[in-house]
Amino acid sequence: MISNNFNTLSENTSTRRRRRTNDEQNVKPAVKRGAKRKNEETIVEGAKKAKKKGKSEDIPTEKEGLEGKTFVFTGDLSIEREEAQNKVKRYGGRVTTAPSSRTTYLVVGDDPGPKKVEKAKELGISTLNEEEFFDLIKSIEKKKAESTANDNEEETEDKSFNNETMIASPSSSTNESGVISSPSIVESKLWVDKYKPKTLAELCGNKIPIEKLQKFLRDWDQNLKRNFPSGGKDDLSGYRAVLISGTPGIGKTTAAHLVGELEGYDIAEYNASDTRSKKSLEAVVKIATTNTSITSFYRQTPSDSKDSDTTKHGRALIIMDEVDGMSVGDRGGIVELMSLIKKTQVPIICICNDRASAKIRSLVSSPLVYDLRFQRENLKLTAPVVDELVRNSHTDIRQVLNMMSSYKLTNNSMDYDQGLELAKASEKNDVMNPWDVTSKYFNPHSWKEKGGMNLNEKIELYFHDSYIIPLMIQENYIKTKPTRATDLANETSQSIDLATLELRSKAADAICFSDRVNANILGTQQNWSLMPFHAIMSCVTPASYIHGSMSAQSYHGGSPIAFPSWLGNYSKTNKYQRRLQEIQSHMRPRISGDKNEVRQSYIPALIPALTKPLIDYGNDGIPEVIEKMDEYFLTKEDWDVMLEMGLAHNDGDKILKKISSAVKSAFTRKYNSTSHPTPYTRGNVSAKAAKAIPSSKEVPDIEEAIEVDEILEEEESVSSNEDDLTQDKNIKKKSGTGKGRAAASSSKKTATASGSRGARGAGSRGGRGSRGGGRGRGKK
Amino acid sequence: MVLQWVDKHRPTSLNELNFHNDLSQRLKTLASDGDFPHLLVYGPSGSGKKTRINCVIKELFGEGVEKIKVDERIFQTSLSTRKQEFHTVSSIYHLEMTPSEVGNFDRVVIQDLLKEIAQTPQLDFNAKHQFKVVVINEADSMSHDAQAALRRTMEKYMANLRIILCCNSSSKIISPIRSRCLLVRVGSPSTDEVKKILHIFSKKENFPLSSIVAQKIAEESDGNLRKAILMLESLKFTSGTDFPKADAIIKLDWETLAFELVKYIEHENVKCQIILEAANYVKIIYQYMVLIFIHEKHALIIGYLFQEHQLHLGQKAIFYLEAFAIKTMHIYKW
Repeated sequence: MISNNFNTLSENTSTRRRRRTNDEQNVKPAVKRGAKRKNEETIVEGAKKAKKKGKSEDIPTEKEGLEGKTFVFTGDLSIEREEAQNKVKRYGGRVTTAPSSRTTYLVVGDDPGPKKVEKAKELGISTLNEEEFFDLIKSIEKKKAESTANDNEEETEDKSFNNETMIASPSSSTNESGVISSPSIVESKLWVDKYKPKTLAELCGNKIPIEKLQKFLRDWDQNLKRNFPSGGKDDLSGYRAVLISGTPGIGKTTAAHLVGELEGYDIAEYNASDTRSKKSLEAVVKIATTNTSITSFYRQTPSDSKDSDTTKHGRALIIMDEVDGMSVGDRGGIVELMSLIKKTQVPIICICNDRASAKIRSLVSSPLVYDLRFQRENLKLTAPVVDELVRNSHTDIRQVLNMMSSYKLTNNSMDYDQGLELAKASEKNDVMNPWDVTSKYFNPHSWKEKGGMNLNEKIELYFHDSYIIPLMIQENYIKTKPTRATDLANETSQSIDLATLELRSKAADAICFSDRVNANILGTQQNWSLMPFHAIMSCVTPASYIHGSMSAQSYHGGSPIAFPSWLGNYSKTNKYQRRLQEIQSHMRPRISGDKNEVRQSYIPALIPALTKPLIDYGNDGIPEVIEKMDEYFLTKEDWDVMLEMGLAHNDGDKILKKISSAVKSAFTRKYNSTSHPTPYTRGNVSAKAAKAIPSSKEVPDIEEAIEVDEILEEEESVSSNEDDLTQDKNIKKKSGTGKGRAAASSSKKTATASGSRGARGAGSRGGRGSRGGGRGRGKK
Repeated sequence: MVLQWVDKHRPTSLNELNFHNDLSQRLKTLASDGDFPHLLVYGPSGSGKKTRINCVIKELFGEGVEKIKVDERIFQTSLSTRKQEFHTVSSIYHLEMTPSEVGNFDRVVIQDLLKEIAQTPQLDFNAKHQFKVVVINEADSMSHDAQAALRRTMEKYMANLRIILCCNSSSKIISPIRSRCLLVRVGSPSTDEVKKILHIFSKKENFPLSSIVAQKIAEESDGNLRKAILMLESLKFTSGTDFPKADAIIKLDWETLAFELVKYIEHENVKCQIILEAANYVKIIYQYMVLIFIHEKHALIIGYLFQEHQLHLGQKAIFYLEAFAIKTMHIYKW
């Protein structure tokens, strides 16, 4: 029904336009007739009739434009094909891609498709060459211009007519078409709500799911009494709730409401605007599930009295709209909903967009919930304007209606060009995902001179997500088979492989350059005005070289376009850099190099030194390794990280395989059981640490005092990542070796200084700073 | 002592240094003179910059500088909620830090920490000099902002503080800082110098070293003395009690990887996987691969060096490595 209404509306507008241009005698009486009825719906119907009439009597259709004619284009025209198609659509014609029995003309350009021509001959479709086509268009343009001139006088009458209808429609109270309309509120409603379907028949599409839903609600009481016997595959009697899923604007909510109303339920709807946490659900929904609605006592309308099944009255129906939108704020909402479904006395309908969402997985898999899927209609409307609108809104009915609704505020009619413009304007709000953008960049069609995108459109693509798209291009540019390679190979008489390499190399250079541009945008420079330039260097230029088909190696059966691996590697690099920094700061008292030197020179040298004894001598090699590690203040963790970072012959995995697991665990045990020096003083100069740095003596008193204070402050905000065990040990033990005492006393100090937060900080300091001490005591 | 030889036998005074003798002499004069300037020490890694800096500090203050401790400082910046860990190595006379450790927050380190140190005068009145020395490592990876923050501090607190900047290349140091420092370039030791030093090590550790092996190691090390000594020790370590042989020299792991990559490139077989695995060391590998191509394949390809320059100015090194690989493949196939 939505589409029906919609259709007639647009026809209404097109009729008006036509009336202005064409046969006034034919159309006007019909319209007048419609106006007399003073009902918008019937006006439309009248207009419809007028249209039909006009058509049947207007044999020379040229006069009318191209209405009712279908064009098929083949081959290249001197103008872009899209432009030519627009011309046809502008004057009311249809454009299809393949010739059929309904095709009126086949427009043949250069290089026509042989199949199309053949089929056209078969079907006897008249063919036009380019010139003839343009002549046709020109003649129509001319006629249009003339008729508009003639129409100018009648324009005023037209306007008054329009005003009449506009005023007339709200005051209508007759109810001929069976549509319940409340005149007083019509104007304040959105069109979406105004033309909301009022009967099941008006619902467009998804007939079977809706029937199922209706049956579910009708049989609810019976099933409840019989305690939900599990029925067959298509039988809903065993379910306590229904989950409706489908894309936005498909009519899920409308259907649920309508069916609920028709079956005589009182509907309680909860959507994303209500809080749906565990508690609020419990409170609100439990009342609704166990109580009888008061409104049912008031309702005594004729339609209800006709309804024989009176038991249904007073029953509530819960519609949980947008269940996949239950967000962080609604914690426990789904769980509560599930428990609700288990013991519900009233039917529950859950509605969601994405049934694959992780949030509602439990709902989908529940045996109590029937999974009802709504699928999108393949919407086909004849009027070219509507076609265009629908195409650009991606068949989102709600969006189309909203678009038209807002358009109506300023204009009364919409011709083809305006429709195109409106669709373009609202298209911008639509964000493409990176995969689509990337494939659009790589699609050779985008790069065609005719019908391709222009530079601005290509730059626009980048702005769908300026962070990820350049990375997507970088990840995937190597995977295409460049279409330009063939041309290049012919031009320079080299092999295609070589030409491909050349193109890829050029693309890679552009990407490198884009990285430099990016460095100027981000970081300290913040030159955001360079972004369009970045778009060109990072996406447009590389794609201009290597656009072509993607090799069909897709690993997961999905798109061959891969997600940038750079992101993962970047975080891995950062992780290694941090670890390396840690190792360097441990080794620092012994070595002079920075962290890069540690990686480049020390790690290759240390890996054999730290693993070979374990491989060669097993358990006997452990002391040697530990001695070396202690000398460089390396921890067991550092040992693991070093091996992880090794490459080629130092590959950590290979080396670890050579060490027997018994030795490995013995090594870990041994390391943990002995005490180790640490280069960190962290405020408390421990006996162990002092020994570890042989030449270190007591630092002057003043400095130590300052340092302790400083560190106390710093430590308060330390977030600990040490294991709790060590912390506890240090906090609990108040006496012990010199080091233990130092740690304990200082931790006490901090603890008293700043409550629990301080205690945590002290714990962590104790944990790190006196690790050796703590373990030393453990040995005793 | 089970330290690696390179750390075990590290010279601790300017007199012990074995090469760049005139430079050592000049530094000695500088240190003994009362008027010690800010220094900017630059040169390739493994050429003895840090060792020299340590020697100079020792020359300035005496034995006291050898008592060092590592501190971990944690601070929170107003820009982010994350806590930054920062390590300093210090004696009572000097302090060593690596501001680039905290990435983009290095400015905060310079503005807060360094200034705080600069504002406190030397506490030990018996010290030879009434200034402290702050050594800034990896000065070339300091952000532009941090370097700018350093400018004024260097002038204003000259009485309390001398700064020694240590870096690989002076080109990334902004010119105002360069003009405030005495520039000291420490070049790589020549092959002969490396050989000489390797023989000194073999004497110290009491094992025979043939001059062929020494020659091979010296060549392999590309003038990086640290690498040369570590390689010598690895060789000794893997050959055990045997006489170290030249063919037993093992390349460093990432060098092996670079060679593998070169092979893949030659056969036009981009194992992207491997390149990406190496993402951590892309810059080094890039440089090393250029070296391989120039030295061993005798293919000086125009644009390599330009691209390397770009790499240093850019952010995502892997892009450049990839571009390099494809370009090379193209040239090879041509």
